[in-house]
Amino acid sequence: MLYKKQKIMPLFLGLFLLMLAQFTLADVVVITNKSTGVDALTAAQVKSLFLQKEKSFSDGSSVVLADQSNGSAVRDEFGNKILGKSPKKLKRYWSKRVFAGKGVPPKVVGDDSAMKEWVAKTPNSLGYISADALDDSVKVLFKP
Amino acid sequence: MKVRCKTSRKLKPAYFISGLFAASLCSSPAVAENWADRINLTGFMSAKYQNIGDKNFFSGDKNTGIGKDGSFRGTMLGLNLTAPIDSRVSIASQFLATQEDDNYVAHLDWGFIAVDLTNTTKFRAGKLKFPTGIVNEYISVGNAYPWITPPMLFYSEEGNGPNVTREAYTGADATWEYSNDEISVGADLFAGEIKLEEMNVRNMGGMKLYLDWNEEIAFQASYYKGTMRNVSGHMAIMEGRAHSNYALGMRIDWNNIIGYAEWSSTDMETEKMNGNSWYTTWGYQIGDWLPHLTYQHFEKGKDSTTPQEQNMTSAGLRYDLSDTTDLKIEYSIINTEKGQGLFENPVLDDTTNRFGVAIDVVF
Repeated sequence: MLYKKQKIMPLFLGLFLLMLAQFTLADVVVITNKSTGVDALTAAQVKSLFLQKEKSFSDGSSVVLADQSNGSAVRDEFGNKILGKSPKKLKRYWSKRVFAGKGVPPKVVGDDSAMKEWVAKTPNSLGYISADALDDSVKVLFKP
Repeated sequence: MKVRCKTSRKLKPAYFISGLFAASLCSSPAVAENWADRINLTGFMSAKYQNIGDKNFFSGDKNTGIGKDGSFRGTMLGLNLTAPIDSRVSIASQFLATQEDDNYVAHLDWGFIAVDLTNTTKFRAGKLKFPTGIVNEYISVGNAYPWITPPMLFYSEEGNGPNVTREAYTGADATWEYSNDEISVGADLFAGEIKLEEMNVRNMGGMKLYLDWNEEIAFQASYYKGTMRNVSGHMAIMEGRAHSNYALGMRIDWNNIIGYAEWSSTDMETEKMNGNSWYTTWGYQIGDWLPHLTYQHFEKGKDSTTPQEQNMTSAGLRYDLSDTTDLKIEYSIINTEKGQGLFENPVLDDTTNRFGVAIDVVF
């Protein structure tokens, strides 16, 4: 009986860790180029910058935004959790701004690796990737 | 009486802006090389079919209005081009092709140079969208609102309509927007002139103020005043008179509740042209479906010998085919209490109906 318990427990523990890892995979981090003169942002600042209500970092440098491809899980996560908007509402938000001449949506750069590559070579950039894709080529400005 | 923007039949401003774009993008070899990275191209299209249960044309004449036989008039395609010149200056424009007279007519919807003066203040000059009316600055983009066409008894530009707002004006504005976490407050101070086929509104100036909570609840107030100049000779009675307008509006997009309400009062220093209009829309989003109801009303010339009074009750349904595409269906009952309202000719029947179906896409 004890032997059986000893075999089942690691199995449950493994499954639990796997589930936890999946949730962790879905976490999003906001990143910038290593040369950016700002080291951290609040959730409100991230939202303001991504919705283009503010256009500069606190040091005065103009922010260059990037978005991931429409339909990606990371993009939906970022929109829902950080911007507080579903993909549909986000699309309508940009329609209202763009077609009224009040803004340009962020450049679309594809997936996590394309985003990292673009942020690493673009000064004052601001983008997001899933936490598990993070490496030292970019600087983290916000982690939920 | 037709009162439409002069530029709707001319493409010259479009060429001008295209030239400006080309010049700015090719100003140096390095810039020309990466133009594709710098220019942002987006667009939208709305295909509409509408008919009306009366031989009289509504919101236009036999070439532009909604008729008994039904037509795809009002179908439009828009292309939006934006390019930054440097970190503070950008050029933006939008071209619109609309179906009129069974042909497509292309024109510059708007186009301007924008200069960021500070993080919150911007100066723009060129042809700008008229800021009166909550949806007027994106009125051509069907995907951005619930209706097939925004409430016509408020937004129609027909001369026999409410005369609340216009497609665009030529001039300049200074905009200010301050955002604090979830709340944005802003102001738009604008000045310029409006060119119409039979009439110009010159020395026009105005202001719009707005308050927006997380894009979920927004309030807007605006005022403008200008001087009317008779261009065609058919509107001599309006020469030199002031045209002023107050408008108040509210928009809700909170959880699944969608709501709009706007009221406006227009004074053209002529009894038969003074009036007011208002509408309200309420809907509830159920998954991809948005059923909604609208009531709209306008009256003018109340104290004149030719009073106009009309109202419209509509039931509509929007279905989101995707994040970028929707399908709409709408049925309205139009009730003309006095005069002809937005009909081309005096009405024979006080009550008639309107039916419409549309598909909208943004890309």
